Amino acid sequence: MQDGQTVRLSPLDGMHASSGARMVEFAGWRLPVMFTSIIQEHRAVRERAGLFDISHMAQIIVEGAGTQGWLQSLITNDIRLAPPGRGIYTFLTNERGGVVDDGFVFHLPDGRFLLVFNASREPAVLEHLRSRLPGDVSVVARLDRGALAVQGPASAAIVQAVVPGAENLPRRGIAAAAIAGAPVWLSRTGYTGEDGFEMFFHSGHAESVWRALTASGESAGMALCGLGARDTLRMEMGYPLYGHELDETTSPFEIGYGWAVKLDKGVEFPGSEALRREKEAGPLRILAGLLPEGRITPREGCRVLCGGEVMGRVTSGTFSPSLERPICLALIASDARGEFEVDVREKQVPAQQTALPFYRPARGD
Amino acid sequence: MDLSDYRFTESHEWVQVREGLAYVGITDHAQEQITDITAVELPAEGKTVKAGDEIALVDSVKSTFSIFAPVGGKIVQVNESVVEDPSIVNTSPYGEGWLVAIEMSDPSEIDALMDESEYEELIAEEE
Repeated sequence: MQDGQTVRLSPLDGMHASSGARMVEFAGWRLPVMFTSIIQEHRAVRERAGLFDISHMAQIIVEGAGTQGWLQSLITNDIRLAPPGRGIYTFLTNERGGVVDDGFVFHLPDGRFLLVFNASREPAVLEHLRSRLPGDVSVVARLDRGALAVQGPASAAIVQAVVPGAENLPRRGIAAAAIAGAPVWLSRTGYTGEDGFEMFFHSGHAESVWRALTASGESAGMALCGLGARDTLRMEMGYPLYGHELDETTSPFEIGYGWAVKLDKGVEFPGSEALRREKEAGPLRILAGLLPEGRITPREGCRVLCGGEVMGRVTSGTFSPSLERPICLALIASDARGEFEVDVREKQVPAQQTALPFYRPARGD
Repeated sequence: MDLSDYRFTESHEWVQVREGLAYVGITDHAQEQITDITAVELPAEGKTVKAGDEIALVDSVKSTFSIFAPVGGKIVQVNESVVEDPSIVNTSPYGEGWLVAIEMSDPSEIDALMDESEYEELIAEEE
């Protein structure tokens, strides 16, 4: 927590208390870390479905005549890939090509844009946007919003039962819908690697949307899930989390996300020159998936050695419920060759590099 | 569960003397806080330790926890079954989920530890 700030509460805070959730503080918010067991919640999402409160995510509405062209000059991805009713994953980068934040830019069917970025980066993202704001665009951070995610192979059936037609929403699609009478933006997105939906709505509707989804998910064995499972699920996919794999000194190329950097879109953006040079020369570091030997998980900050020399650090480490073994993401020198070892509590443990993702969900795309 | 002959540390280990050996584990409160235990690493049998030395690691999904010797002496037994199935520590922290047995070099060290009611007070204060 920063000085003088109070913790922000999800509109579902009271609901979580009565569900027996274990709460933690995350990015200035009080949120459930787990309801029953991180491992059980994780497996529910891989095998059936899980419901997550993601009300902490920053929801920023951008609108006005010049919005599309302005966003094109700010994001690394190509805004033309997001016609109305679609979203794209993108980075915001600084002049050095370092990542200010990563998130989704949704082109709403009504023509406005909804930016969904990390709670921890909301002030930095707003500063980045507002310091470059033209007269014909407005940027409003919506503080009166809530958001939920339903993720897992059963999610389409669960959401379809409350929003007829939801199963036809394409991947990265977004549409206006109503759940329990509440207007929501419903998108086919997520952070788990599974099929899934995210929904964004006025915080006053949070409890009724939550109730409708829990009722719909009950017969499918949907679990209530906390941030703990959200983290293990994204790690199995090799998805970055800001503050771990990403910061202002790390580039999209280093984490293997060059596909979201469109240098040939015909418009320059902050860092585009630096990123062009980096793409040509090749990134100095890469995000590697490591399978450490032994049973104790190397955690964030553990040193990664190659030939006895420190070649990088673990950025995230967890026990993988799907693989039933420790897994690590690590930023390492791209020229490191040979056998890796990870420093775990004063021991050096051999670690095998593996292609990401660690786990490949069954779904088609 | 009758814990009247168990003694406790501030770092949430328990010790119970059974036939002259100090059996050591983690408390129910500790396993509940740690949640799903995914791995346990135990010391080698025969190792000599002092009270307060790190003797084991307990890994969960989110963190790794150090376990400290409540008393000094020689580790004469380690519980291989919790290495095989770490969830036993969650389900039976005071019973089958014990970690090591120590042949105490100074049995009076036990007297410095908390009894059940003192430990309960400690937990209440922490919460």
